[in-house]
Order: sequence, then structure tokens, then C-alpha cells
Amino acid sequence: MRYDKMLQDKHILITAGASQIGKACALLFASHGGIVAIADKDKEAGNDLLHQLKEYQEDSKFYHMDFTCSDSVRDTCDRYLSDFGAPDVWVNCEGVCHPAFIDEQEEASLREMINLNILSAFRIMKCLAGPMKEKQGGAIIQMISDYAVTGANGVSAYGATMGGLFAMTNSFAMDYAPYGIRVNSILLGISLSAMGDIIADEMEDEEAEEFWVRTQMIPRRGRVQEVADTALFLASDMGKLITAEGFFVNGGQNSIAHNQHYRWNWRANA
Amino acid sequence: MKNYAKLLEGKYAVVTNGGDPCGSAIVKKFALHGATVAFGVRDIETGERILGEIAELSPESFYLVLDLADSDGIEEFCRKVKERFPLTTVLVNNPYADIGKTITETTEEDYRYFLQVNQRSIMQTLRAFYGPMRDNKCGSIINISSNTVFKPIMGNPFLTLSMGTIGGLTRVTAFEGGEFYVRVNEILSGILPGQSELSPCPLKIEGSHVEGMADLVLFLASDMSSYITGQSFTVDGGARRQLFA
Repeated sequence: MRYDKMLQDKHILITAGASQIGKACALLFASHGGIVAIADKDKEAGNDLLHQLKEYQEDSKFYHMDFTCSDSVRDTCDRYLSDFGAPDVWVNCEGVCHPAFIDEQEEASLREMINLNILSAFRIMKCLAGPMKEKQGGAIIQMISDYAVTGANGVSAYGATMGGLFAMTNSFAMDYAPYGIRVNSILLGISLSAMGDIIADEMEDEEAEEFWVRTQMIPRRGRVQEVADTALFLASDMGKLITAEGFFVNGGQNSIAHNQHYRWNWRANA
Repeated sequence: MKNYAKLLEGKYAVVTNGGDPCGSAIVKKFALHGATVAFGVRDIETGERILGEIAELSPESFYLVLDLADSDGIEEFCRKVKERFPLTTVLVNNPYADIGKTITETTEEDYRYFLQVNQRSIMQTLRAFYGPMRDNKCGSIINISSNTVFKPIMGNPFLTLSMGTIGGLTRVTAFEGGEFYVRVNEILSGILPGQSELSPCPLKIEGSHVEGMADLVLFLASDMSSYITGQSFTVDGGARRQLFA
């Protein structure tokens, strides 16, 4: 394998890939020689990205897809399969978060999260699993919040959908391991989510900085390129031993106590 | 944009056990990516063989004969490496103690041996190399333990016991090192010490297994994983989740 062209001539599908993490993955994968197709609900952002992707690879494509509607998902997947055949790599970035305490959470918003976070992934899996199994190989990467494993304040309902998605992904991995299909999750920290933007926008710079220092081992926000690098590792032959695993990309947030008074007290006394 | 063909260009790396199939794959991978590597081996023949394979790629690399059961030897190893390397920024601990015995068969000597090789050796190399990494705000440490920590195999209690402490040491070092951008991660390897394949392995894998392990170590050593620290990665082809074959 050439490490500067890790995905040479691989067919890649990125769902919800028109912006942020999906976009970073798309551009990195294209620079590594992959033939990237994007499916997203946002036409403008999708076409914008398509122009950039075409500079790497003329065959790049954008599909408009409504994740809430199973007909739209099936139609898009069918079009992808007839254009490119089974994908070598599928990255799913779809997800929505409505944080609330349980007593204030509307059931409708939980239903929407179940629909977009779990059902949409299920619908796409269902369309792609058969052809990928026939192809006897491939890599699937699911972007999930690390709340799937850790839980946190104010995200009971959201965490439930993410936990469900994580469990589904791991079991899916076991079903398709004998066919050489690797299925992994990237567990994203708060700093890489929309909440990270809110913290950066609404807090004073100093306060936001203090927040990252207090809650993470690496005391800064994550960058979408860092997620894309991890996705590249999992998508390419570099990750060929890895399946049914969750990669925390969160600056070590899950491994420490959030309130680090101990550290500061120790510092003050030192 | 990173140079993905030379992910460790100009870096100095230490691999404590570069002699077994996994260790030598890691040493070769690092050399391929532009690192200068110091590695421990148990005998001169192994050292010369591996050095011969990487001499062209990485002419400054060298080996030292090292027995991880000998704590004075480890201190000596660290001292010699620090004399020759200006700054070590990648450290791979790849301990190897593995004896097939049940609890009733094991002795106090076995216990001491396991703790020295799989646990104390890591503490010793951390003491030697972590400080300079912290002072220079740059470094990645990878501790390789065993997937038997969570899913024990029959007849090797001390493997699980001694390797089980590596995760804690990983997280606490990652915690201390985080604000200095020193990253520390653990690999729970499904390849037993001295072996070259995952067994059992539900995943259909083509090609060399140790190569795949070396690629994960490379990923964690390089800037590709710059936001990943304090984590444990299980590499077993999904075996830990398998109920039905």
C-alpha cells in the first residue's frame, strides 16, 4: 500500500457528507485517490463540495437524499449502486441532537432523533450490506457521539439513540466480519459536535478555554481534520485488523473526571 | 497537509521489544516512515537481522540486547538510548511475558517475573522518556498489553494480572501529559506475545496480521491521531464480541 494514496481507486460513499466532518473526510479521501460520492439533504453545500471533489476525480458525484424518508434512501442507494457498484468505504455522518432534561424533553423530538440517528443508518445499512457482502470486503465507519458510551448531563434521549446506534454498529460488524467487511465507530467528543460551536460562540474566550482544560486531557477543541485522519486509518488497509471497535476522538474526555479540582488543588499546593 | 508517506519523518522512536514478530514489524514500519529507531532484542542475531532489513531506510537506527526481566538492564538501555538520541518522541512498550500455567501451578518467582516484564519495565521506560517529552511538549507513548485483560484465556492468570495494570498506567500518564501534548494510548493486542497471528479471529483478513498491528501503532505514534489520548484499543478482529461462529 502506498501511504500517500491509501484509497487509490476505492469507491467511497459519504452520507451526510456535505459539511463539517463529512466534508473533511471527503476531501482527505479524494486526495488519497478515492472516488468519492456524497449524499446529503443540503443541495447547495453538496454541489459546492462536488466542485472541489471534481478537481481530484472527475467521477465524483453528489446525491440529494432525505434521510427521514426510506424511499428516498433506497432510491439514492440504488442510484449509487448502479453508478459505482458496492462501495469499498461507506462513512455515515448523519445525526441530530436535541438536548434536554427528561422532564422537558418532548416525545416528538426523541422520535425525530430515533428516525435520524438510528433508522436512517439502518435503512442505508440494509441497502448496502447485501452488495458489500457479495463483494467480500469493505469498510464502514459510523460517526457517533461519545455519549453513546459515557452519557452526560442533559442528553438522556440523545444518548439513548447514540447508544442504540453504537450497539447496532457493533453487532452489524460481527455479522459481516466473515465476509471481510470491517465496521467501526468513531466516538466524537463534545468539542467536535454542534455543542462545541455553541460553547465557542457563547462563552467568553477565556471561559471556553478553561472549559476545554477542565474537561479534557488535551486542552483544546478538536479539529475536523483529526476526525478525517482517524476515518482514513479505519477506511484504508492501515486498519485491516480493526472491526467492531469504537475509536474515541475526544482529547481523552471519557477517561477523566470532569471536575478536575484535584489537579488544580494539587497545583496550588505544589 | 501531512506527508502521509513519511509519517514519522525526523522522529526518534524507542521500541522496548523489537525482536518478536510484532515488535520487528513495528520497527520496520517506523523506519519506512522516516523514523530513527532504537530497539531492544534478546540476542545479537535477531538484532543484526532486523537492522540489516532497515539499514538503507534508516541508517542511524540501532539495537541493544535487552532482557525486560532485568530491571538494571532496562535502566542501562534507557541511559544508552538517551545518550545517542537528542529527543525521543515516540515510545512503544511491547512486553512479552507469557507462560502457560494455571493458578495452582504458578510460583512466587513467576509472579515477580510477570510484574517485572509486563508492568515495571513500562514504569521504568516512562520514567526515562516521559519527562523530556513533557518538557518539549511533544510525544506519543503506546503501551501494548493483551486482550486477555478483559477476556482471559485458560491457564495464564499472571498474563491477565500483569497486563491488566497497563491500562491504568496509560490513562494516568495520558492525564498528566495531556496539557503538554504528550499522548498515551494502550493497545489490547489479540496477538499473543511471540505469535504472529490473531487467534481466534472472526474477521476475514488478507495478508500479514503483524503488519496490521504495526499500522495501528504507526497511526497512534503519528500526528494522524493528534486528538486521541488515554484510550485503549482492542485488536482481535471482533473476537471479544463473538457469540456464534
